[in-house]
Amino acid sequence: MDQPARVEGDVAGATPAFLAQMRDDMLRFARLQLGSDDEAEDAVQEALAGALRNSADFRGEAALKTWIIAILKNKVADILRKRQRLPLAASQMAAPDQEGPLPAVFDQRGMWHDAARPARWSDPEADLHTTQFLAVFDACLNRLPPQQGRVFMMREVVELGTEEICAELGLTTTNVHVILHRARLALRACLQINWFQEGA
Amino acid sequence: MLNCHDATFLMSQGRERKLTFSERMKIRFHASMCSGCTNFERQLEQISGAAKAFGAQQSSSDE
Repeated sequence: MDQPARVEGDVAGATPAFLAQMRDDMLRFARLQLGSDDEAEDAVQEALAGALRNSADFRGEAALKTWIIAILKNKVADILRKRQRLPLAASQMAAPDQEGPLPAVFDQRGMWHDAARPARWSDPEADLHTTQFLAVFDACLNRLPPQQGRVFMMREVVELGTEEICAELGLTTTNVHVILHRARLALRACLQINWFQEGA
Repeated sequence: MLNCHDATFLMSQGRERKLTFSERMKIRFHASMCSGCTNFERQLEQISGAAKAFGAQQSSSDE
């Protein structure tokens, strides 16, 4: 698909396979946020280049990856903030159905359907940060309607404020609140089914 | 009294803005009688924590 990054050489002892995989992860993350391949590519290149200049400080691949992703998050946030000063591109203009559907978890009176009522999650907090859990989390995130996934990522992963999200996507505060509510309901339901009920 | 849709909507908004006193009271009253919404409120926090971990990719399979 994409050319492998020019990051060969001894980057904190990381293997080429590790670097290629990391670059794919970074591109996916940046594309989802920026909606533009070119800008995503640039952000990833800059994050990698920045990391290379200081790579000697990093022991081991895990520390390197954590750090590069942190740089990338800042780059993405910078790009999104800069865009707010430009006129909204046509592609970013509000589409009629901005918010995506409300997950079918409530009955007509707005009460939980029996099958959809949130059960207690018994796992200790630490289990929610394991590789296995995060893979399920990733899959559930990808299943959200696009706008819900995007806004959720901006808010909870990139940690932008509501105002910044509104400005970036041309949404009202209410839109963003509605979208985040729906995204959280859908994500919660997906995690319940695919993680917490597994083997129950 | 709030229904579960409105209670979870306020709980969700609580992560973006400071809720009013009256909103917080309505939520507490509803949650005191609704285990589903009580669990939802707790899970909002867990999902947020997981999203941070997801962003950091700390527990990547490459470790």
